[in-house]
Amino acid sequence: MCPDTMGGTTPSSESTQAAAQPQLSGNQASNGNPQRPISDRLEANLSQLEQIFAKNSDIVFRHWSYGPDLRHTACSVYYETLMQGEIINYMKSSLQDLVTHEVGPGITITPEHVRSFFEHDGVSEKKAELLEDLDQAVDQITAGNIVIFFNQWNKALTYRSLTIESRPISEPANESVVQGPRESTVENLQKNIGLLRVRLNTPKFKTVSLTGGGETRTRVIYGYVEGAADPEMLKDFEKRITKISETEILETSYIEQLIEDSTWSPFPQHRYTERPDTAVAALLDGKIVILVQGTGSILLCPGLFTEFFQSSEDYYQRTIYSSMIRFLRMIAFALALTLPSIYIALSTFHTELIPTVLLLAVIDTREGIPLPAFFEALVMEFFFELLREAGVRLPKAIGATVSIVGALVVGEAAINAGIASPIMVIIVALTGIASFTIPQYNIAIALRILRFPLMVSASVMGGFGIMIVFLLILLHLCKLRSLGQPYLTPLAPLRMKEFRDVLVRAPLKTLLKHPRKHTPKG
Amino acid sequence: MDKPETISAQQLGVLFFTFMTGSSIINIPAPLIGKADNGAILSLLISGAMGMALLGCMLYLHARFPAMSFVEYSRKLIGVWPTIIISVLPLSFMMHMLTAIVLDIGLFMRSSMLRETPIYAFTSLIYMVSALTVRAGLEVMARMFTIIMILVVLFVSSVLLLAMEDYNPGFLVPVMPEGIQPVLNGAFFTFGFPYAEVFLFAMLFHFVRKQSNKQANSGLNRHMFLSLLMNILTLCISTACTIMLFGPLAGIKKYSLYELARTVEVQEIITRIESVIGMSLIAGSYMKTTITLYVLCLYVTHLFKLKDYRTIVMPITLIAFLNTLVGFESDMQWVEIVSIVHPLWDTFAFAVPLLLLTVIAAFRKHTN
Repeated sequence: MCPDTMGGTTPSSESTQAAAQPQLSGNQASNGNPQRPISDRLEANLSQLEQIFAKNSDIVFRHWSYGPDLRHTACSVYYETLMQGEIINYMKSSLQDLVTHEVGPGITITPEHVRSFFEHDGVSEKKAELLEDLDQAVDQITAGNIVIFFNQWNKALTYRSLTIESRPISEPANESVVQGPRESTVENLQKNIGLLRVRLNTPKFKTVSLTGGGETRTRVIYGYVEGAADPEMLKDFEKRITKISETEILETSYIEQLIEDSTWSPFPQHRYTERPDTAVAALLDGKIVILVQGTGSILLCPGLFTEFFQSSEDYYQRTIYSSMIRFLRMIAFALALTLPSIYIALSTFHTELIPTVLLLAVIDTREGIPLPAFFEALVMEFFFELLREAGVRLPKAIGATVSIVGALVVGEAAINAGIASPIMVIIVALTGIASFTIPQYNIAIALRILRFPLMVSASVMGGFGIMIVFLLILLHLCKLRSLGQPYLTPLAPLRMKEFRDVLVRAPLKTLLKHPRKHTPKG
Repeated sequence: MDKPETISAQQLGVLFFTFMTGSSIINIPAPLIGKADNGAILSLLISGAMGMALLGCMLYLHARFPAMSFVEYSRKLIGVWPTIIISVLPLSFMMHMLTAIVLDIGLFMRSSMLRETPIYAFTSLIYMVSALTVRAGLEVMARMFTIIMILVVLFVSSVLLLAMEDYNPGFLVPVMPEGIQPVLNGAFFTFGFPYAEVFLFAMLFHFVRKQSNKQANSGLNRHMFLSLLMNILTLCISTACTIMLFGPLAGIKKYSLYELARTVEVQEIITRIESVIGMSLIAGSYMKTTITLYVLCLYVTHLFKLKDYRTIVMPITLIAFLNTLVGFESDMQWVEIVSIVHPLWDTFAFAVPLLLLTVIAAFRKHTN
């Protein structure tokens, strides 16, 4: 489907199809409901609709009279809450189309005029779609469109009229950069697609529109760049995405959970972004993007392990700086994962590995601490997690207070009270800070989860225990796939040619030489 | 499995290098120098050449029967029952190998790092991780071991480089202080461990992805021989470094590379890096255990024509674990088994059947 039709739901294809069919035949109704043809008596239609929309305080039935002596009647039906922008009188504009001059209330028009004009696709300023089925009409109304019923006509007109206020495009809240564009996606699907398309001026950027199931009928659009995305991967993806027609989609993460390979893995297999430039870069790299109506987060899939260390700013800064920063992130990753467990292993089992002076310092600070190193670390980590969770959930204004109080109380007072050693506070704080340097929030969660089994094994078996858990994690990572691609690509399987954006960020000249991984062969 | 597993020739080469080098790089130098003194390197070259010959036989057989494992073409060449008969020794030896590798980790950990922990605590965990890896399949193993092997090579070579200032090349001469006999003894020992063990890969060649037949085979041959050469080189270097550092003491020090790492001290910044070697040993042995376990399961599966090797991974691991528990009485007895019985056992278990089949295949050219 071409992107230009993405704005509409499905009316154009369905209604033209319906118009070509003889009335009262076939199952044109959406959802497979029994067909309910529109009656040519206005009252019959309205009474049915009133039943359906009972107790909908914001539904509007507006009655009109037109024609000679105002003998003919019509009625427009819409949700006033979904038409918050400029109110256009669609009734008037539909009649206006029929008269030669732009004057008057249309007193010469009869239902026959209306019928013949619209059924033969007469030229009009606002394009109306024809409906023959009451269920379709209901769908249109709930989708925010206006539907006009005419007496003595067994069809209805619908105009696309959804206007609902959305947040203006603002700076990204979660992925701020020093240099680079400052646009962020909003909760409006069309605006978001527009943000992408304005950066990707090619018809090769395909967007396919889908509708979720259940009561929400959320509109979902996935996009990819033809020639960049691996066709096999795309096929796999399309097979998985069909599941959404049975599910109510409220947020992009619903889709992630529907299509991911391994549900119980602590590692995220897809990336999110709210930056259109990041999404476009991913598209060029052969990824598939998924956008959902009503939410600003874009899902990028497949997400590979190394990509979670990349930030869009890496490409806006000079190579050497980006590479150093990436190196820093990797150290941070290792620290965030292992620091507490290494401390436990060293201080419990392998004291001989600590240089003597440092060892003395450590022993000195640990004197009088009632808990063994493992429990000390566990308690402190637990406090830290509590603080972090509290900080996330609280209103912004109080959040800052919590972190100050937390740092003071848990840090300072715990040391003074002799519950925790200063070195442990340093370690826990360092672990926390290290985990914040990773650009993608969702892989930091994996670290938070994996830190604890590492601590337990370190306290039981020392370095050997850490080693075993590491082997298990590595095994899991090697086994994991994202949309059928090995998660550790290009580390495992090792592909030296694709290493230009893993450890160091290669100069753009090299990076852009073969940006497409899956150029069509031949 | 919906798709049969395949790996590239390069990946198999890495697996081969991993398998041959993983645990031997740390376990070989000390006992070898104990037997052959300064002739250790010569011993390695001799046994390495014999390993090459075996590898040549395997690759010849693979070229004759490209889509089959050792068991399958053995069945074709000599029949069902003879295959079962000649399989008794290899199976028993593979079980012994598993025991030996895992036990070595346990003994090493107990003697060097965690002195009060019972050995089964180490062995059971290693077995568990290995079994899980085997169940994940050869593709995952190939991917995973490449990463680990790069790290291990990095660690070991950096340790060898850092210890450079203490090397005394004078210790390397005389090359054969006591004539040829100790050298041959050393060669016999190193042929048993690790070079006769190349046999295991006769079960894995058919997993290599085929492009065009000729090209793939030459690629495979190149990678396999290159891996073996690298392995011989690596073992020679680590042996030579040990001799250069410890001189006459080299044969007495157990886990010589570990001891070597202990001596490294650069300023006061890089000290106590023996833990890095310890980690390499664990990782290397784990990888070797995994490959051995995989081949053992595959061997049994092919021998008895089972459907999926995954079903027997856990039982075989359990048997191996129990064997590790009861097969060990004392350090002395264990050393004797490894250095005297081991080479003889695997010569008959691995080398003899392989040579037998090669000769038969060479004479029966029409069977294909």
